Amino acid sequence: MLLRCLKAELQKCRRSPVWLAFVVLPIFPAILGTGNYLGNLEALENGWYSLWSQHTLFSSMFFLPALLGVFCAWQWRLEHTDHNWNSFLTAPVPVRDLYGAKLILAAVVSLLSQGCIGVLFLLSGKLAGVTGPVPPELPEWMLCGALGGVSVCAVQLFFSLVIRAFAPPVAFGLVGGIAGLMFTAQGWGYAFPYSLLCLGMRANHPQMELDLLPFALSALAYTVVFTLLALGYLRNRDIAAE
Amino acid sequence: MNLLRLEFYKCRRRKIVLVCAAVLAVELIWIGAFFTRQDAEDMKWGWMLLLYNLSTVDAIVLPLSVATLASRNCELEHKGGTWKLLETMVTPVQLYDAKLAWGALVLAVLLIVRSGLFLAVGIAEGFSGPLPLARFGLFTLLSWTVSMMVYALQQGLSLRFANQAAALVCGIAGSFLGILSMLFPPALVRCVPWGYYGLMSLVFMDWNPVTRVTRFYWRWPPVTDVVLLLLWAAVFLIVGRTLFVRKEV
Repeated sequence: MLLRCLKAELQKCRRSPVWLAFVVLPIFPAILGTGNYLGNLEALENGWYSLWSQHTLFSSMFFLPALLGVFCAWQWRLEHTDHNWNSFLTAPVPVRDLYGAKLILAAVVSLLSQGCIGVLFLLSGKLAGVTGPVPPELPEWMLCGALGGVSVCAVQLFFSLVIRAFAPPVAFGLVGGIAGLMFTAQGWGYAFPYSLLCLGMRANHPQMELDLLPFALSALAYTVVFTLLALGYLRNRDIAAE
Repeated sequence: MNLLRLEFYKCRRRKIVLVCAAVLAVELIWIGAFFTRQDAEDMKWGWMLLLYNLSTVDAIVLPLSVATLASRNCELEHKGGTWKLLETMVTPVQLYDAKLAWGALVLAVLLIVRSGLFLAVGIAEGFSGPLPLARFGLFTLLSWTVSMMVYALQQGLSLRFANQAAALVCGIAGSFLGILSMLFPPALVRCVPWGYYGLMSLVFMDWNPVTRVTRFYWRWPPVTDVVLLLLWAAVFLIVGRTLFVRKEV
């Protein structure tokens, strides 16, 4: 049933230009990060690692949380508009599958955006003439980043479900990203979903050792808690269609 | 005037105050967190440091906040399908102007409250030197002007596309370019509308790479930059309004 829901979600995405944002927007940080890297070559002497820190410096804190927020808000917007709540909740499918499909799709988008960032990273590295082998940790950075992204998606999906408007949850994503920056600076990064994203990507500190266990546990905990909250909301609240 | 009053009436349950309060809270927490980490040496710059950081925080926070406010005010017409009804009574131009005036008033109140808040913070922190009231006033006016330019862009987008994702993605890109434009070469900053938050700053920083000493100084925004800012605003206004007026409802 989950698979069918996923198929339905994919169909809803057909012809929607929402994916474009995930392809086009990471180009800005890539260009600027590379420019910044080339401009400060004497200070940044660590080749690929320095380039990665420049690429992810801003994107993981301000950019990706808000962007994932747009995707999650967009997913619920489909149901908030055109009386779709009625057909959504009366479909002969458990709500956990309906919600699961949305979460899986968001996770896929989180992974895709990381892939996009990775490809742009490699491309700009080649163009900038960075010597040395490509860091072998790159797939790990991207995967951990995507995992952090999933917990952000779970939080954002919950807020977009409760707040029936497009803009506020997205703004909330940006606020979360900024708060994540502060939590990371204080050393409480593992305890905050939006920090998990930049911790996972090792933004700023490419060579940082990530404590995989607390990281994965925290990401899992946030995903599970917010999924349960959303399911509880879906089960118990009367959803009046607009 | 009636139309403007109606705009406020339409937004009465849309938690606009909450959005504004969130903006203020984020700025306050950010600046607060920043000041707690400064040593006494940096704190002697007091007011200058505050205004310098405020324009940086503005460049990150305000583009998306302005996008959110514009989207809140325009989304309701798409949702309610009210265009046909409205445009049988008033012209699209009047409607557009009323919405813009609503944004101008909300942003003005938000920014004035913001300035008052930070003046109070400065006094409470006991910053040295005389109270730079005139500069705070000018700073408020400048950030309002930049915000209105961004608002005109966002309102155009929010009215044009029923799907608010377009406007919000533009807002995110704005927040992002706003902060990154501070690293751009100066000529390029002027081509980025959101870069004007930093460009209009009344305080500039001078970092001496040899002595590693940071120095802040007051300055007036150059007239050319102000003219360019107004030009950007005029372009967004005219294009947005024309697109809206010509839109089939």
